[in-house]
Amino acid sequence: MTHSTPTSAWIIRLTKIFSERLLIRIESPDTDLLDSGILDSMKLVELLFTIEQEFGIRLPIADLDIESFRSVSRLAGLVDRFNVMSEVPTAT
Amino acid sequence: MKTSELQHPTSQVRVRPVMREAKFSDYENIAALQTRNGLTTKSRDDWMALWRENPEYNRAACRWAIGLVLETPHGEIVGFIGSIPVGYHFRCRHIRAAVTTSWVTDPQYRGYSIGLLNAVERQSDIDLLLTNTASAKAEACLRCLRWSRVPVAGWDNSYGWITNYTGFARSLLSKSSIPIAGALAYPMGAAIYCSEKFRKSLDQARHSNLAVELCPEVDSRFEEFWNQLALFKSDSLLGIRDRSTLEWHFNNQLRRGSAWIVTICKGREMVAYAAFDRVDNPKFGLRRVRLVDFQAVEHAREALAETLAWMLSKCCAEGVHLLETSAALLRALGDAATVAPYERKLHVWRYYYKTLNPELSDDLGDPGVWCTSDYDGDASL
Repeated sequence: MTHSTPTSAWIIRLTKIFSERLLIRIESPDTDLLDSGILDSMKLVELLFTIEQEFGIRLPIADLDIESFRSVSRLAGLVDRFNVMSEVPTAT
Repeated sequence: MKTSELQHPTSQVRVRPVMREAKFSDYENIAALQTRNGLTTKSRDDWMALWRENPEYNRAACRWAIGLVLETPHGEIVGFIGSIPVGYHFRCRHIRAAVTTSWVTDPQYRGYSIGLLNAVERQSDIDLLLTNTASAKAEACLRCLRWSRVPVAGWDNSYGWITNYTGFARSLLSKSSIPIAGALAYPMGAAIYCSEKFRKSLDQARHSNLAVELCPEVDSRFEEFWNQLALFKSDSLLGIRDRSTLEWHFNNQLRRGSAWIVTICKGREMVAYAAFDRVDNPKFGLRRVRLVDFQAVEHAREALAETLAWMLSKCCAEGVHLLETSAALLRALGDAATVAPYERKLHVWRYYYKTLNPELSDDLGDPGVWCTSDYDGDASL
């Protein structure tokens, strides 16, 4: 039996955002989104707005480090930290 | 969504860049970066003067970072954002703004570009961040980082006066990629001419006791004028326009003949000043003069009418096609539509700000405290 942690559920939802909203397929949660050239400035902005909309959170973007956006795993950690909705995400 | 429709990354970043403070010795590499990304560059002297001759930079002494670069381990600069300190007066306080400028990143490193903008905000000793040259792409990033639109109407359009109908029409047709632009220019120029009715209203606003004079340099009268202006607009967030700041801002352009400063006097008393610069568009053959700034301590409307009439005559005489200004500047001076015949929509809000000093946040939400023009920011630097 496998257990779905909140972070792994965020990873699934973020991967879905990449594929459905940004039309980008992510090979792995640890793929480097910056060094691979997947995210340019416009895609990053679109991603951040989408994350805020989808997860109902407001990210303190100006206070964050670029490293927070380097991979889907790190983004999931970020969402987990700032998820003020306190709902347990479903990994569907 | 089919997998085959999804994008795969095409441009791989080979090396990870690091961000560091820009140095004057980076000039060549920054200029090369700007050139390969299609931006215009300044000469080394003009670029250095943005800081070294800047009174506000000198006030900040050595504590000011001129900008940030992204540098690869091989020493190649692949991203840059400049930060120019500019002084403001607001309710008897000195406000230090950082104007972001020349924000550029090579395509394969653009994931890092928002980090450059973000890092500018972390400089100490800044009350306010400003830009009035935002592009559509930059606008998205600015909004993402919670910058706000300057709440003054008109920063998404401009007003203009056509001063050479044939030349302007030829430029317009060239922009529209119409191959017989030259032949069509004459009838089109006539059509534009027939629709223009502004001169009457402009003439009505003029004041016979005001004299417009071209200044070859920013002379000592500007010191006294600034003292009066700062008092007159003490409740406004007003960019410093003392003699040394105006010299820094305009002197290089004045020397090259690509800017003009005029004074408007009533008798011996200077009641207003205006600054213009030349902003041609060589691609379309457009010869254009821009009203950058206009400030008056009395008779504002009449002084503006005199200034415009003077510059319109000069433009006509020198074959300039268009005199243009930001709509925000004219609207602040009254009913712009009565003097400006043409309006151009810009499709982007050019002027954004972010307060880093919490004491300013509420005040700057009030449109009434702003006194904006293309003198602010880097629009005319």
